[in-house]
Amino acid sequence: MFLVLCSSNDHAARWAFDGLAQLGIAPIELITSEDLAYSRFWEHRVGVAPSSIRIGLPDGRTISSSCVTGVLNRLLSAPQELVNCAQPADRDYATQELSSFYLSWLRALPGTVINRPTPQGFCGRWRHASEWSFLARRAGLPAPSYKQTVDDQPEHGFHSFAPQGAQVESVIVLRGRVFGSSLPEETLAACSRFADLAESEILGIDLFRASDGRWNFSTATPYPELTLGGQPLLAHLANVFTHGEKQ
Amino acid sequence: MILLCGIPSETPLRLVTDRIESAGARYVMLNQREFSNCDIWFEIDEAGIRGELRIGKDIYSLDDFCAAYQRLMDDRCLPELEAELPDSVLRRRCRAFHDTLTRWLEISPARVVNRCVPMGSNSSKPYQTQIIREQGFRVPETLITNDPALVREFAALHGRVIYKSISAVRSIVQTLDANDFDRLEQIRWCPTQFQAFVDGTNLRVHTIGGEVYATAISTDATDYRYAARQCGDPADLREVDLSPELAQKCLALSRALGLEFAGIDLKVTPDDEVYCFEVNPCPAFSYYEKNANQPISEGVARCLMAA
Repeated sequence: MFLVLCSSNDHAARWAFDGLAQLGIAPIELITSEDLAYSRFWEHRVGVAPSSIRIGLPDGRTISSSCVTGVLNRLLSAPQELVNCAQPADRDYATQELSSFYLSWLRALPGTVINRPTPQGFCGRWRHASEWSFLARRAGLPAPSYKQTVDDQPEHGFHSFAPQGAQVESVIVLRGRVFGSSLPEETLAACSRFADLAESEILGIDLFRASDGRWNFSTATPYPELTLGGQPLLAHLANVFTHGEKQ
Repeated sequence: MILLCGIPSETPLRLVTDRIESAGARYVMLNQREFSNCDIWFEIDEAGIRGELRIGKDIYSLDDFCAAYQRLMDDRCLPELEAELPDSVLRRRCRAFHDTLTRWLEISPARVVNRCVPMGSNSSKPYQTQIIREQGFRVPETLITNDPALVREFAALHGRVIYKSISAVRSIVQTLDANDFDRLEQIRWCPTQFQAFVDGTNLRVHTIGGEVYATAISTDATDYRYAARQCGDPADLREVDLSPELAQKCLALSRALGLEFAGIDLKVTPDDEVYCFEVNPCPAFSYYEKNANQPISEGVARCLMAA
């Protein structure tokens, strides 16, 4: 069984779900974060046997990790609906408990999971601009300098590097292959190296055209707009799911 | 030069400072309570990472730090901010200072004990347990559920069962008893973690710079940190030697988690089986150093000075 985990308003995930089904990825289930919030039961086991998860969804479906072979993971956060059920004084604690639980059961999903959860993000690791900038340079992707001082507010580290009005192109890297734009070969190769260094199976990368004509790193996300990759991305995703673990 | 960050009077930081001082190594103490008198900036460009840290009138190039030990408390809770409004200028500056410091520490080429990202595994105990298991340790049978029937079944299978928080929020480990069974319906709102109780001797293993310090803890309490409260007597701590195989396994686990310094909680059963429960990525080791004469702070200092 293949799963697409996403929010109900994640149109890109729904597009991928429909496209994967048309490409013969079956059986495939779309499970929204709202479904998960109102699950009838959860059963997550960790111990001597491989870790497992069984979820009884509100519509009667039961998802068992023993039947899962591939997952497109687009979950962003633990369900606020459940947190809101807690007493106001307990909501921070409830959020932490639910987030920790989600991180663990997502990690227990077997097979090909794109992306695997990390403590820095359920659908892959979100990074600060300083880390992206550092990785971009290591990958040979030109990037503007990044400076941080105590006069900058913490949000400063989550902005795009692209100057206002600059031409921006987006690409998606999935397991080393780059989709979504016809940029120069050396830029695409650097994007592939960048995703590898970021340890992200799927990564969206924005680049902007600098005054010297070179494509510079702008920002990156483990939660890309999948539709930008079009059918070639879907076909590769289907291939990755079909051929299982790391190729 | 070594950068020490935190509150100088905090025992683990004080112990490490004393050891570094005794060894005559150069260090700089960044007292986070004096943030208003400090400044920091860093920049990443073609030349790499550079920047400066100002403490009072002294300015240091960030390049000069080859190692850092951070024991930073949550800066939002510093006593200096107690009377400040949530969005005051001082609060915002404090946050920005700590954010800049920790962002630099994450990418600095210096040896950092420990960086924040690897510490993240401890934010979810069962998540971390899965990594521990993959490193070849036995882990206790664990059930996280919102279904009371599954808990009853689990308890019937394992006998004594404990429950504790899933997240890093500190909770006192409790044994599931008859009173708890009466209120099990409450878990329907939030999946809760239950674990088969493992009988045996608690071992706390600290790993630092390739060195291993093991302390055995004897107590009848479910949670030895609260032994005096739970069974009337404090826990008894003593230094023990680990087998070379187990020592290597502990070091490998720390490496797998990306931690320079770790506090690994083990339990050795009467059948000599070793279970691993948790890895603390920011161990307050002074309790073990004091009660079992373990020179852990010397190990931390050596690791920093070797960078």
